[in-house]
Amino acid sequence: MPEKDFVACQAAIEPQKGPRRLVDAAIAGTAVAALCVAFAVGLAIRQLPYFVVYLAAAIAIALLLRRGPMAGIAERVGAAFGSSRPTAVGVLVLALAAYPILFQGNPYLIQVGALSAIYVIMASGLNITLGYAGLLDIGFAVYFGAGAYTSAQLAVNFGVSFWIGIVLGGLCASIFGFIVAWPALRVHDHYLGLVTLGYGLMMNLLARNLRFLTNGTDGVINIPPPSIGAHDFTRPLILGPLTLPFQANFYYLALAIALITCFVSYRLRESSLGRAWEAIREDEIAARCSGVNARGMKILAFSTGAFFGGVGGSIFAHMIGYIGPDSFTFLESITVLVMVVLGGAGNIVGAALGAVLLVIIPERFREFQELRLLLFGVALVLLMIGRPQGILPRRRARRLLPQEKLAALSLGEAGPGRNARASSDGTLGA
Amino acid sequence: MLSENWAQQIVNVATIGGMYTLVAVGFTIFFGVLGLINFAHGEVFMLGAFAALVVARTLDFTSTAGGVAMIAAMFVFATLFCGVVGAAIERVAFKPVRRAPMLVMLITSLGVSFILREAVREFFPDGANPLAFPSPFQSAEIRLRGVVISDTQILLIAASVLIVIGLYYLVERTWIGRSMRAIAEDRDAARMMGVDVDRVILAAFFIGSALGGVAGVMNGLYYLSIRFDMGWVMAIKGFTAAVIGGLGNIYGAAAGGYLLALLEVLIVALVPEGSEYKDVLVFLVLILMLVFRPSGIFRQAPQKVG
Amino acid sequence: MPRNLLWTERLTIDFGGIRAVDGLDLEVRRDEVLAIIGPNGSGKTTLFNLIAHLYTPTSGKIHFGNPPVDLAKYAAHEINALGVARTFQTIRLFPNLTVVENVLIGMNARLKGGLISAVLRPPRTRRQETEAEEEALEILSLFGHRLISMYNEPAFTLSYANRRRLEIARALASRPKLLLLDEPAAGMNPNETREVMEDIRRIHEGGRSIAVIEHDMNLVEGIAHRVVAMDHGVKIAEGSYREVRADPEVIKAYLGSGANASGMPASGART
Repeated sequence: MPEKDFVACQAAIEPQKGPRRLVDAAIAGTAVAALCVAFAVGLAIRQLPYFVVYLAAAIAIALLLRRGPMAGIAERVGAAFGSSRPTAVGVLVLALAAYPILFQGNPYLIQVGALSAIYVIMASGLNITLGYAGLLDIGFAVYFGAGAYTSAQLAVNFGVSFWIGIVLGGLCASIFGFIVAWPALRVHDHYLGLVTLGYGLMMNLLARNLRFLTNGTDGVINIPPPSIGAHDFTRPLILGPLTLPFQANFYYLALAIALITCFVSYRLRESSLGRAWEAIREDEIAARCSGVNARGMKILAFSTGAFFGGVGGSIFAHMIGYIGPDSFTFLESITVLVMVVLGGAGNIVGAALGAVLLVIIPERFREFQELRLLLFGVALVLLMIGRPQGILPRRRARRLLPQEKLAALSLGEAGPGRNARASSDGTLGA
Repeated sequence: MLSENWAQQIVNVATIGGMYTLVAVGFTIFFGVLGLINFAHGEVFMLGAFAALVVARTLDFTSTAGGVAMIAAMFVFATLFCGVVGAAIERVAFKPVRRAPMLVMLITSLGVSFILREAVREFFPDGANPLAFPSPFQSAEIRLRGVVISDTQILLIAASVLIVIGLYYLVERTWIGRSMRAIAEDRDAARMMGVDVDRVILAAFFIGSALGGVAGVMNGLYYLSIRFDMGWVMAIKGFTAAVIGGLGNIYGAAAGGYLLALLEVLIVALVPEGSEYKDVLVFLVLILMLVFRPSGIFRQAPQKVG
Repeated sequence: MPRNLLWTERLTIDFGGIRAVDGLDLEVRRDEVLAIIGPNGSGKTTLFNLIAHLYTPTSGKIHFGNPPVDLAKYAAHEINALGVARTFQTIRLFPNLTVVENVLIGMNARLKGGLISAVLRPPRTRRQETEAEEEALEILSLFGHRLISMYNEPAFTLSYANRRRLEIARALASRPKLLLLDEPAAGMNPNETREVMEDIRRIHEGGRSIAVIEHDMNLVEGIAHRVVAMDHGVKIAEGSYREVRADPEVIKAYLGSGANASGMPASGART
């Protein structure tokens, strides 16, 4: 039995060669392109009834792909994704870059796209804290606020450039993450959630009351937009023959930073730091006894996640031109939290998808502004009952280990002495 | 002069503390039987106030039996209504996720909280605005050496004290109380020993939510104004009171409610601009308690390790 | 070089009035396999938790290494880096991490690099990762095909015995000078126990000192150079397996009221 496992396992890690690889790349690329087109169609549908039909169809297809007769297709596409990830990512980035061009007649949709990207940045940040390290943070809006206020006040009062402000905003948010990380070293789970919740509420109240820092409930207004050289972000974006509405400036800015964020968060997960975070999430005591500095890693998780929250807030403030205490309420914290859980905690694509869906779907139901939170509540309960692990739960990537090493070890060790030992898991009997 | 002022403050503490206590007991019961922080509990409290308002609008007691009958009707209806709502929430929303990770239960309760609050805002007539709560009393006041106690306050203080005493009997002397304690200790062991866990959890939600409803009516009678989003603040305060007393500890919750009220009153009285920073302080107390005294101020071992 | 690798000095810990370890003087010598035996609740696991600094001693010291340092002054992860690794009586793996990742965590203290090198992944970091993975596979291969054939599967899919093995593999990954094994054969059948015995011997031959808590007297007899018996937080006997087994204090501790306790069978009469 172990022998068989071993063979199967070697086959699975055998890198795909030649035509098979090309086919995989084609499948993955086509699948991503198809998803993007489907998504664009959803955005283009104007009448709400049609959109509801569209949503229902999307959910139905997703369910069919999971266990219906189409499950085989899903499996094949999944395998293709596994072996040709660069192609899939490449197609996706191209599609995202083309988005403002496709919808250039609809500045509002481009703005929604920019907002989605901002939330992707924040959800990726919380994904590090919650998804990797398993630290529940229900006060994420604090970092958003810290970043937004920092760069806004620097720009308004001291004329500091956005490009410096965004970095300082991120760093300031990190400090707020660092502050809450200290109590987080002593409490877990529910209690940690409540500590961060209380922290979020407290910081919001302070933002309302500490007028000298925040202008109180009036907030900071007239925040200047970013600019590159002479190009102001409130001017239309001219790309060769194309003239895109000014919202495209913010879209590309947020998209670029979102992609960087996803890349950083991917690299972190695949590093020894990411492993240490996951170990803490799985069993803190065992992690500490295995040499993981749990204190340090927790502080790092909070600070890193908070940094991205601050960056998101900073972009938001300069895009909207205003930041006030109502921009980072408890509801904001919950929204980012739900984005991560909805997408699938620990999964980068999942968190990003959750963010995009939670920005776009409510926007589509703007006619029902009044009922939005009610529907949000219903959706939350149904989601938690039906699919608590999220749309795309974290899947362990197959590691490509040094092949020769593996072969050498297993062949070398497969001598007679070993075979006798390896013959059973207690089924040997006498 | 100063001492009279203090006596007055103590009356206020007793009134507000009673409300906090009733809400805190709900949190502590839910945490005991399910290990759940029920964010929707604040909304159940709010529903209690609205249920009482419906009673007041439907039945006109002013001409006939007068205030006492009306108040009785309000309390009875709100209590039953909230109890049933709480039990329904447990069955529909929490039961399916009972064994899921903590985060899943937490988000479920947030979802329920949104549903209840928004439903009231949307569907209750003029629900988005503050609504006047009828006062069945003629605002009679009793003056005791300069200390003013309204008849409403006397009613509220008496009611909360009576309910806490009743709760003591329920928890210590009845099968339902014993079963609740057994489940809080170890749900699976309780089931194996023949406790009908589902039924007891349902009953616990009925009781906890009903108490929340009572607090809602009290809140309406005391402030004479209710609003769809009044539950959220009360949830935080009731929860903080429960944490002060030690989550899972019913008597602790009762003490925590009065302590928190005392703390608030002291802040407003002693700190300049205290009322602005009152809530900041509540959150600070919550955080400090959770971090440094997670099992409450009574040093008792936590009855349930989350 | 001193004879002892680790020694405790009047080590004591109280849990709310209960003295779990009471003025214990115990040593682990260089290059030995020490077995710690004793009835349940005698303070054996508490001793391990004290050494790993999961508990802080009420009084007393734990010296380790050459020149000696007091372990109570170091955090748990630093103790791992100093060269003490352990397993747990109730298995504590990282269930959703793969087998090889579990082992890699054991190397965490040795791997260098912060945020920047994690993100930019310079050649140095890549090389370090590859070397770490190779070493992890080597460690897994200590257990034949059992673990290496599952290297890419999440740890929760392993059989009970394989989980115990993986815990040992993870502990070895930190290249410990001293390995603390807390009931490595608990819940295993006789064949598996025999295998554990071989594993421990092989690990010891690889040049590690080992302290093992164990109830299985066959295992103790088979591997221990020295045996320490504990009861009520104190050391009641010390010496070779035969000496300790014959010690009247030990017999009393195990037999208690006089019943023929199964925990202390005659040599070879393993259930």
